[in-house]
Amino acid sequence: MTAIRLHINDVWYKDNGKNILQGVNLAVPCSEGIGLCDPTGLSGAELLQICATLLEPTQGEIYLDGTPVPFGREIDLLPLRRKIAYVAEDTALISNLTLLQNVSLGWAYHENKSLHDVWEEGERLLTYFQVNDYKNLHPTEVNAEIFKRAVCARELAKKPILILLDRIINTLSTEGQALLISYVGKCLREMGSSLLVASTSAVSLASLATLISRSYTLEEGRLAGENPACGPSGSHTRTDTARHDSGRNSI
Amino acid sequence: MGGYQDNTSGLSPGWLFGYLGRSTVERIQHLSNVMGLLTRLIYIFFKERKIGRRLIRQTVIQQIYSTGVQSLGIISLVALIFGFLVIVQSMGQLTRVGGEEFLGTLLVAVVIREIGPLMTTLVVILRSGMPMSVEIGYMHVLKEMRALRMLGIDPLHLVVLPRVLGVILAIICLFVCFDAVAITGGYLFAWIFTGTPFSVLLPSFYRAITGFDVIIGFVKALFFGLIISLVCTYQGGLAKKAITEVPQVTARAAVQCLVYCFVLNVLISTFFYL
Repeated sequence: MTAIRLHINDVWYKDNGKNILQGVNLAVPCSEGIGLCDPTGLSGAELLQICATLLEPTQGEIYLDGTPVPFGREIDLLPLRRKIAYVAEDTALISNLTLLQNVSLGWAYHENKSLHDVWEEGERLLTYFQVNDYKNLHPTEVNAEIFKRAVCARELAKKPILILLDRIINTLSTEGQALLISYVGKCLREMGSSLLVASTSAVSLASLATLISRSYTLEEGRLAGENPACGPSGSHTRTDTARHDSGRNSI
Repeated sequence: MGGYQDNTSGLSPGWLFGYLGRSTVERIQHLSNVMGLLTRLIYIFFKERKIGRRLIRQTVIQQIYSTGVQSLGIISLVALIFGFLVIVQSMGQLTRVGGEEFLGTLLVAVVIREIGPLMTTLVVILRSGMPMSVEIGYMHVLKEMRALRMLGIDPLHLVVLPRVLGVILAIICLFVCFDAVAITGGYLFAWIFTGTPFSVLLPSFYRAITGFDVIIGFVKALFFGLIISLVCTYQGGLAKKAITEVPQVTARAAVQCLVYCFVLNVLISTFFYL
């Protein structure tokens, strides 16, 4: 039986009195990817931010490798975030740092490596995403495509156990998508990382068919069931990891 | 009349007490939040000493450079002007009553004890406090703080703490510079324009200044630096969603820094000199 990396247990989220998420249950196994098709773009984004520990759910729990996420204790959340890559449409780079400094920031801060080693690691990733020529430029000096690729490089530099992609695929060029898919695929295969992708359209999810084994539609904050249009090309077999309780809003 | 409100009711005693009560509660809340930020920074300073030292050190140096070194020109100019004005005015008044020997005492009381710390504070608020508030505000609005948190980095540790340390160290140095330039420059101008020899001015100054004055000056500079950096970073952090919030929080930060520093200056002076 495949181990569960991320377990979303009856998660509710309310913003300004409006229910954004309503009792979502989902389990993401190791080395597997799951897609969420959210036409409004709101519920999916909030769910992924909760999984990234950036938002606290109004109700419910998130388990990462079987351990509950200690929401509300920022100091305990910081080490967890180092294991999670969260790339959203609006993820920022630090504007007063160059692309190379941005990608290497995590290592430079946490690890006691020499600057030479830190830069080398950063350059390796920027080269992978084919943006190393712009390494000494600041985020405001590069175009959106290079910016997004640098964001992907920085987040994936963490060697994450959980990868969260929020509406990023359709903002990248075909070449950028291919690079991201290839790197994420490598993480899933070699490190046993798990993937959760949110997108506003089924077409975008279909472009990730090689990575995601299942996809679901989010309707009014509820998981409305498996979406055949977003489904995989058949390269993965479905694992029975999803919860079946009320049947109304859980998988 | 849907949206019409009777403004005359706003002048009633009930409204006045309500307004006073609300604003008092808001001030207390604000102060307790700033104190909370200070407590958190002290905790982080001791707990996270071994993480990110290279980056923290680099940011502290940058902050000292931008607050201290880059402000030296304007601080020197302001100090020269004030030193000159105080000396010229004092000489004019003291010579009438034959009290030239008190010039040093007056200089110490006015420039070193009061004008030095206050003018240094004013320059630092304008030159560093407001930009710091803008920078932090933009970092919040543009979600750069969220990006740092996603890297497992506490923004208070990497962004706020070095700025607080940098501003405190820089303001202490600037305070020393201000006093040195104000006294020497003021004497120089006084000698050029009034012909008063140094032999008259310097001995009275040396008689008047004590180690206690210097220590109180340092204490003031330390607290003013702490207030400026804490209030500005705190206010910057209140900008959350729109870029238009940034100028608002910056203006609020500048006014609060001025009020807090001036009130604290009065309290310290009253406590130690009265």
